[in-house]
Amino acid sequence: MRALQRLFTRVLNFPSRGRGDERLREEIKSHLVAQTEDNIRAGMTPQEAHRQARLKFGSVEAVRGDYHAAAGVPFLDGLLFLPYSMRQLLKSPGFTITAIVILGFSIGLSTAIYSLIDAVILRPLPSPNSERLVEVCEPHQHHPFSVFDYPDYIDMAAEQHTFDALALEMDRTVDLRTNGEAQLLEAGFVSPSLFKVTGLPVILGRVFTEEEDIPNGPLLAALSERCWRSRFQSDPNIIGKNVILSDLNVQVIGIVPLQMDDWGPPGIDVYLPIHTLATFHLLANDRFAARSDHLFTCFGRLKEGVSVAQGEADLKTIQSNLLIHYPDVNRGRSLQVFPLLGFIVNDYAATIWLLAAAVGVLLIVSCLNIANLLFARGLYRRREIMIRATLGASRWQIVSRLLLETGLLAAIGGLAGIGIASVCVWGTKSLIPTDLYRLQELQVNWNATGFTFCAIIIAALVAGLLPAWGLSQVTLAPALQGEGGRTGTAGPHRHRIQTGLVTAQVALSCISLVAAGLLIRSFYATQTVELGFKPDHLFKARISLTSVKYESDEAKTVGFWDELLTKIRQIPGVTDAAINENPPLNGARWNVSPFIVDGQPKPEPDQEPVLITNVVSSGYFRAMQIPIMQGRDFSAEDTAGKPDIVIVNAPLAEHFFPGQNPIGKSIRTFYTGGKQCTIVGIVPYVFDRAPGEEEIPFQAYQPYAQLAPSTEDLIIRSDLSPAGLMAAVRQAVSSVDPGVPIYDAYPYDQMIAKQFVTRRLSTLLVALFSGATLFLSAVGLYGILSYFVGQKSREIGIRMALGAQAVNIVRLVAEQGLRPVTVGLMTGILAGLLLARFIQTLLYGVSAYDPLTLVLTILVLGMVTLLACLLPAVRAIQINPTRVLNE
Amino acid sequence: MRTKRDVQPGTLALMILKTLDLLGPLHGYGIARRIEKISGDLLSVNQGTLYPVLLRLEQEGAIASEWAPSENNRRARFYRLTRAGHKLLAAEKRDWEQTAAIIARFFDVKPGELA
Repeated sequence: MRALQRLFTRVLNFPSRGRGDERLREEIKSHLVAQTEDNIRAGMTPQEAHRQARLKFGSVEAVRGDYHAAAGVPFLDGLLFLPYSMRQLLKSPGFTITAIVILGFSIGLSTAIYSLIDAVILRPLPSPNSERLVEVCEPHQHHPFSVFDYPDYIDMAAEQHTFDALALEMDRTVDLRTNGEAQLLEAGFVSPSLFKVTGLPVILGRVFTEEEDIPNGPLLAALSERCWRSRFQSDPNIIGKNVILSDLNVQVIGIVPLQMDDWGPPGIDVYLPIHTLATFHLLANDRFAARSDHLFTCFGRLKEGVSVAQGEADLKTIQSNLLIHYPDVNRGRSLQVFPLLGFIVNDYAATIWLLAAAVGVLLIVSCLNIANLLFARGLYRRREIMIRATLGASRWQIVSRLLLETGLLAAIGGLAGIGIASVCVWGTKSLIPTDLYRLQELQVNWNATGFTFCAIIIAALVAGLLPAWGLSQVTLAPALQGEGGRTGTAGPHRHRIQTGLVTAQVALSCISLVAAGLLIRSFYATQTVELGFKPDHLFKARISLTSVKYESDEAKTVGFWDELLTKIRQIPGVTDAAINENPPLNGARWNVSPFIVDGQPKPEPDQEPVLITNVVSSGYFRAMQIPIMQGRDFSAEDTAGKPDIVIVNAPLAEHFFPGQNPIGKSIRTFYTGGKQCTIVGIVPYVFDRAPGEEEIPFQAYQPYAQLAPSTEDLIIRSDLSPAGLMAAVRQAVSSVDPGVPIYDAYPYDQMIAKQFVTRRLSTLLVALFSGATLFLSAVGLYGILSYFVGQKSREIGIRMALGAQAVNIVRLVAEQGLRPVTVGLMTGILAGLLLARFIQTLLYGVSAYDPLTLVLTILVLGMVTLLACLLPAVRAIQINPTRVLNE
Repeated sequence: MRTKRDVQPGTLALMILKTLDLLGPLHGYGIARRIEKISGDLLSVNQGTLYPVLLRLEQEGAIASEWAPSENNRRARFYRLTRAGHKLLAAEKRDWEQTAAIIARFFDVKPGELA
């Protein structure tokens, strides 16, 4: 108890310790004055009296020492040596700057990447108990994430007993007409249970009910908070009012929270009852009854305490019962339940984890490097430490001094790290495409900062203090004689530690380089891929006929496209203009349709081959500069009512009609409802999907006049500037129908670049990190070899004096470095080969065991490490034997 | 000539407490003089060593101190016993007497008494 009280008083004393000292001085003064006066009274001369008083008092300094030892806290006292530590660091700027740069970069980069992982992948969805949210798929061949049909959903929702609620959703675009101008809105056509799944309270008004979601039911809408704020200026009186969506009067009944937009981009602006899809002519009423129409995304909220596997088993049982009742349509389908968050981030999770691994390696190498640096510095300063120990400094005093120095370095490095992390976070936000889920919420994560900081500091402390601890108990004689520089042979033990650290660094940078090399090779492969069309001077703009007048009238739709194409082809400067529902590399993945070939054995249901569908106008191939290899292009004659025709690509023709003339043969695609389409032309394969996605070799093109699509991309080849062309296109569109919205308008290369941007970024970052790792390892190697040369300078001097050639000296030094490099390199390549398969999914056009990458890695690493070996070796042969031996 | 003796560790604090108990508030110099006087100059106190002990006692709450004018009107720091100090003194005194009594008994023992 008394000890505790004393400690408390001591801590309180700390800020006022200056005053404490003053108090003591004053007390001593008054003591001495009193004693002197008494002495004078006893008959001494004033001078003698003062001398005797001082003698009697004893050593003032000793008393002060004791006094302060009793007054203060040992650790805090150390802080008083901060200026001393600062001087020590300034005295060796090379060491200090290197350490701060390593600390700053590793802390900064690791923090930034961890913040990214946390913001995008780890943080839960903004919904209560969000871990219970799931997405349900009915996968089958070619469609691992295939969605639901309506009757299956109704049956499962009724019979399941593991979910609080199941819900269906279909995303479509509608237009919002205000003052005659059309804006495009993302509409979520949802079952009312969706709001129960999300579990968030409405902001204003109410949401629609099961009773209201019926065929030909009332047109009710719940706006998302974001849409309400941005397009309706947060008007609270909007509830109960009507808005015009795609020419229909819809009543706004509620505002639902922003968080609902988080269900994967693009964010939803307005929620409508799922059955109004028919009212909007987006889906015929009878398709709600078709078990073959897998059109809807299914979400669910698991009951409390129910696992994903239990939920999946429950629904699977129901599905297998359905299979008995409807064997034809459900065959080949299984069922899978995914945690929603994992499902949403699935696309880029692999990329982000790869970045995490790259940064993890960088962090470890930084730790090893800082450890090596401080270890070497501890050894370098052993003479100083020994002298201090011999002069009576306690072990604790010596160690705390070093601790303070390391702490100071760490503090500066940490601050630099936080700065670098902030810059990285800012840079990431502006570099990565904005539709990366939740990216805009990214900010510097303090947990991550703390973690990386601690990791590095622990490494630094262990490495920095080990030598000091060992040396602080050594006595003077060996310290000053032996280790001081005369005999100059370092203990083999220390050497092993340093060599081990360098070996580990080389191995880790080797792994990192292998990964970077494979990614760079993949990226190069994607950039040089044969597209099959020429994207330069090509421009695209998307046009949707969302209005009900088009959705309900095919002739009107075809008429619109006819008239628009005529007008655009008349714009001066336009070489070619055409349309395609789904032009290549636009990021869409839904345009896949099973098909069968007439006159050939019919495959099992759900085992049909699939092709990519394109709905185009005549002149499309000319505009894209895709040559027609055989047969003919579409023409104005190929209209509805004429025989249905199709142009297929060469791989399809070669696969199904080998050695025959494919012209005149026919296929049936499910996309067009199984109509027989006669092949009239053959075109080459066109690169359709972003590299890394499943490649579908078969492609087919059908004329828009026979299918009347409501959404098309305008494809225009022109020398006009994008802005000038865009203005002319807008004018042309509004001269045909002023209510039709245009969106996603940009040069074609720009759209292609968008497909590569994540890959480009991750490749760049991994390359950057592995470069940094390599650099750090080289620095580490250089450091240990320089130290080696410094230590062996006497031995080298003797050898040279005895006639050793420069070559021998270089070999002596280089051997020292090449051993850890060789061991590290071999370990690293082996580990790299073992680990490469984990990034297989991120590679394109290159095997995970790509020999070229391995050779290049060895070459680059070999060259850099050789340089790191040679610099100290050159210093070694410049040693002047006479000077060294006289030292 | 009588040889002066060093103060045994720990006893200085006890002496300080007892002095303050007897004479009331005193400054450091006063305490040092009293201790010398009472010991009949048998004990040499390096007067400076008093101050760290005073500080420790103050930290433990046994004594309190404040600046006040001394007898010849100079500023000096006066120490006085607190209630905790009185208790501490009583406890230490008991301990000391016990120890002294035990030691005394050992010296009184004659060879025959142990048989």
